[in-house]
Amino acid sequence: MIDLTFEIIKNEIMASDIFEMTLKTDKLPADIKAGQFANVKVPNRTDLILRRPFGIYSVNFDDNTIKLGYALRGQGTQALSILPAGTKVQVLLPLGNGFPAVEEGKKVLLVGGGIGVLPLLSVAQSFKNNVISSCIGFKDASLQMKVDEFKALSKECIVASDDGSLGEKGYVAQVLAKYIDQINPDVIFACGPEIMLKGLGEFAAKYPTYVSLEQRMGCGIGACLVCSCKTKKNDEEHYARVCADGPVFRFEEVFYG
Amino acid sequence: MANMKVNVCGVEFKNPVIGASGTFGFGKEFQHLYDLGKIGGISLKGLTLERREGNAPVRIAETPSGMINSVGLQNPGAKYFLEHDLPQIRKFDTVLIANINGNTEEEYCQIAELMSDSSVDMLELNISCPNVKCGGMAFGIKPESVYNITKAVKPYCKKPLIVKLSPNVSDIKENALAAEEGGADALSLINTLYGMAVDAKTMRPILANVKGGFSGPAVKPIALRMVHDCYSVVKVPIIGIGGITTGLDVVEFMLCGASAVQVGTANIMNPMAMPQIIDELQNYLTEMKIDDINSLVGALKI
Ligand SMILES: Cc1cc2nc3c(=O)[nH]c(=O)nc-3n(C[C@H](O)[C@H](O)[C@H](O)COP(=O)(O)OP(=O)(O)OC[C@H]3O[C@@H](n4cnc5c(N)ncnc54)[C@H](O)[C@@H]3O)c2cc1C
Ligand SMILES: Cc1cc2nc3c(=O)[nH]c(=O)nc-3n(C[C@H](O)[C@H](O)[C@H](O)COP(=O)(O)O)c2cc1C
Ligand code: FES
Repeated sequence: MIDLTFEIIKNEIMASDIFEMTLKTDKLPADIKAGQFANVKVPNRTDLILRRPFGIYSVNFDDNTIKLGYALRGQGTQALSILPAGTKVQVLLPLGNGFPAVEEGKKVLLVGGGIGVLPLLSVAQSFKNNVISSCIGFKDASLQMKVDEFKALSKECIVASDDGSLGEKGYVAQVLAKYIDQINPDVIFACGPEIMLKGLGEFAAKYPTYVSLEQRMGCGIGACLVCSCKTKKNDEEHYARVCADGPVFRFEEVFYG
Repeated sequence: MANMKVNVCGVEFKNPVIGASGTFGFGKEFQHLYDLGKIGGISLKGLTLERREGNAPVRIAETPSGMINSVGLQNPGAKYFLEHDLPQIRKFDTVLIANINGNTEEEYCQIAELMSDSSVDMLELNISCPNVKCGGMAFGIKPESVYNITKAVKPYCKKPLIVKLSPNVSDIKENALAAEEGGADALSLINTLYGMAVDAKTMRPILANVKGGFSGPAVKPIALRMVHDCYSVVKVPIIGIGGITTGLDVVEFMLCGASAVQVGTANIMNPMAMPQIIDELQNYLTEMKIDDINSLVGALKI
């Protein structure tokens, strides 16, 4: 983990209210894993003191660039969205545990909703020795992201939208139910809104399932204990730190009872 | 190079910049970012006798140039800390301060005794946490109770005792005097202000605990004023805390009477804050042709 100065190379709209930022530094740390995140300082804003956490969804070690995708939410993401290329940005990375390694040849099913599909794309790109299937959903066609990339990297790619304007109509879990037996994954990796993740219970009961969570954060490195989420392990409940113990957890550790 | 060493009630610090309790974990979290031997000291995450899980999330809200937390003293308990964490961090060449907390006077005394028998260098009595129901701030509001708890705990302390003051009081000078009379070897101030953040769109408080401790650059003017107030009435050394993010901020606190400082929220904003602050402080002394940092203490010209 290291705090580095990056320069914005590109900062463009990627879908409705969703931006993609390409950042370049002198030398990227070599140990960035799929599912890890970066803590980004909002430049030129002394009032916004907390860094914003975003998944690192693409890494290029050849030209030392990373890509972040962010949805416009509040002041921080608004301020980031108007930054021109050339702006210097302070970024702490890589943070969190990322998705676990999977044995060669095993089938990995990626289940993503909305902006949550992005960290899964980094799995599809980096888990080269696994068979990837994906099921990705969006509210509507205007919010679709990286569908072609998922199709290219997956053996099977199911696309869904809440209103049917893209792919099959329905929520991700509903649509996936029709295909899950046929895919028969060895492991499921999921990222998306909490309500979507919670809806994966019936699949998690059958297949080992890992979910990537969000929580409001401070330091991002496990020191301040503000980013907690309740977890259950061996029948004991504890507050885990999403930034350091997560953001990726076993489904049944965080969604129980 | 100018002298940066300071001495607070007999304990020597290589520079006056100390990590503030709760923002710096047990130090370990920062060891891969920089050499912890560079900083003056670490006030460790608040400890209680028994393990504490802390409050329900959400536990943090950002406010203009500040933040509010409601962690609620989450910690693994004193015994676990002594067995598992302290051996790992004792190897760093920096002063270690145990931040001690309790629900009752007895608990404060027990944990003071336990920590005194360990290899930590100093104790910091936290009677100013706004995030726990009993104990915490309840002991730190009325001057009489500040006096009583300090006096009760002091005999159990074989290490210098710092009493950490709450800013959520009517006259901090009285509380500072009460702590001094009770036997405090030093004072540290301020802990967080009691605050609140609301989301107008959801019509809900941001913190699950509704209210919490306000810290960060926004509180610096209040902290400076309180350090200045206390310096005018007590003889024991003062450790200034509140909103420090730069070397110049440290100078401001020292001019108002602080012998050393603690850096809190700045570590959360920027994990490299402390080494940067120390470099800035060194540069200030060079530029101002000051050869001993101790000459700044209380040197405010009015
Ligand atoms: C591990 C992790 C990875 C993430 N990855 C992405 C990603 O790849 N793309 C993306 O668009 N978003 C991602 N998020 C969510 C993103 O961090 C928030 O949307 C963003 O911080 C909002 O900032 P703001 O200033 O616009 O919102 P404001 O509401 O103005 O922010 C106020 C404060 O709340 C925090 N906050 C608000 N919403 C969230 C949230 N959902 N999660 C965490 N903190 C929040 C902010 O960081 C800030 O400290 C991720 C969150 C986490 C924890
Ligand atoms: C997340 C967080 C946790 C804290 N936990 C403790 C604690 O356990 N014990 C304590 O005495 N103070 C605690 N504090 C208070 C700080 O040590 C410090 O007094 C306060 O934040 C003001 O300084 P700052 O503005 O530099 O942060 C905490 C502060 C924050 C932000
Ligand atoms: S954000 Fe500080 S511990 Fe997770």
